Amino acid sequence: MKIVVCVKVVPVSDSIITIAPEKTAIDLVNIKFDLNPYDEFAIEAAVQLKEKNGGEVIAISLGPERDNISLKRVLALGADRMIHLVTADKALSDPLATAKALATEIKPLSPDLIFCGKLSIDTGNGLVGPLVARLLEYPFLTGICELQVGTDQLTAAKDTEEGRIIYESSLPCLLTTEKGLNKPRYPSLKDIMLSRKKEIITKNVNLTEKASEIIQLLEPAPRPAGTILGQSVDAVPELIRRLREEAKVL
Amino acid sequence: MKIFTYIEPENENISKNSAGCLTLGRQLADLANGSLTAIVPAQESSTMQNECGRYGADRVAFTKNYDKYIPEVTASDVANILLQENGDILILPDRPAIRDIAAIACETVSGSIAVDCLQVNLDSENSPIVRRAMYGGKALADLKLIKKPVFITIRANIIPPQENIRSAETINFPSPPSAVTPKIKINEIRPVTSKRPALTDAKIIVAGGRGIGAPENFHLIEELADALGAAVGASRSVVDAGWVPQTLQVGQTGKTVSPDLYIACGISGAMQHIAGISSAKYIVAINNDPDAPIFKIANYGIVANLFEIIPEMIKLLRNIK
Repeated sequence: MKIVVCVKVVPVSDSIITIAPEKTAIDLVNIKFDLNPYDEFAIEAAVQLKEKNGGEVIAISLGPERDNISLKRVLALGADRMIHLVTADKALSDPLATAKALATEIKPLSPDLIFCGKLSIDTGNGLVGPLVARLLEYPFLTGICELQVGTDQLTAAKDTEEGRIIYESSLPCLLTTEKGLNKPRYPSLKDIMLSRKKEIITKNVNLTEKASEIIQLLEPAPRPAGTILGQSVDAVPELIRRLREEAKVL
Repeated sequence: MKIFTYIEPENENISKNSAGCLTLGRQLADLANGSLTAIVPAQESSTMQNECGRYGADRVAFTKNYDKYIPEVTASDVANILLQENGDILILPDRPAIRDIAAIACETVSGSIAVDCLQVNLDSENSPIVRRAMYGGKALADLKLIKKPVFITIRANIIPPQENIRSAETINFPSPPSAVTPKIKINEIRPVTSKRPALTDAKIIVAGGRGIGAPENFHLIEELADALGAAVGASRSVVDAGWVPQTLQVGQTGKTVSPDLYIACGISGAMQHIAGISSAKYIVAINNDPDAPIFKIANYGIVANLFEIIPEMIKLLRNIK
């Protein structure tokens, strides 16, 4: 079974984000980068399938050169090789352009399964997975939290507002992973040593055609200073009064 | 300029967020001297037709084919309508299943797309400029969408519906029946048993964090939620500890929410949590640590033990009713 995992390197979720002076990018000083948390479930799902059924896990990432350090971790987590499509930072804001670059690279591999994280926590789009699937004419399911893979079909579950839906799809298929699908492993020292022998192939790509562009980034307006209403149950009637009369939300 | 709004049917009517999208669509259509057409993925219904007109639609197209959980069919109808009509903008209410529809349709017609948007404006050339959150709400981005047709999904509970009554006419599209055969099918639906509203749609959310101490105390959060008709949420730490299901998680690696009122109980306010609630209109914090960061963003705070405060709130709220 040949499995491709698409991963992205993002600022970690406890990063303090400030806007760079030119207003179209964030200030990269003091930002720590790591794998997008949803992608860890994608890697784990792929590696578990390989351990069970044999085959190969190929990871692909599109991003700037500095991502190289974080991408080594994908190999320690069990991917057999890593393809890093190197591009400039600003190219990454356009989901369709990103999806086209990934799909072009994935197509000749003709994998049985493609995994992506449900969304990346930087742009928060969740579009690249579905767009890659469409470009490759694969069926897709987004945000899966349960998975069983057979020889030519799979079943997967996803949670919606109305409940858990159990889907069936033929292979090949693209799946995007939700938190809770599995428990991503911590690589052992041996995994890390072995991963040093694995290869990160870098290729420069130029995303020329753009469907959207960033005009400016802004800091969110600060929330107005709040009021501490008290230190005991005596404050509760005042809280409820304010919610009803001042905020008018009850 | 031809503007379209995708309508989400709900209980034989249109959802509140769809009405908000029609309101936005009407505003843009008026700015650009254009028209507004509602695309309704359902059988023809005079109720829905009238409701679309009530919030400003000039025309209504019922696509008839509809499978709520398989996006390909609806996406193919949406793409056909936009192509036949040479549509400029499609506005959709954001939710995961609708994002999938927007992504498929956008790829089919080679358009451009922005999801979970908070605002939409037109520049001097009538190109849409959208504002959306990035980095889980720690920054906002203004994006220009260049390629038409443009797909824009709007975050729930952001645009209040405003009436702009007109009599919307129904239009028919020679939609090819079953133009796509989905490769995906549904084996089973296990409905949720909870009668509480969905987190992303809820007007009020009561959320619990580490301060609730143990999983068996989480019922306090649920009781307060039920006293308010609210949804229940949780911080990452209680989800990671396995106390509550992942579906309740609010924050950068959970759900981004925009209720009128968010009551954070025993939640310290880690950056990634605060980011996910930054578009809540009012935030209440109940926490016994006066230095908890949640108090910096809360409109109202009580620095006390939540095991005393929550039962008192439930008691007073029940008295009001």
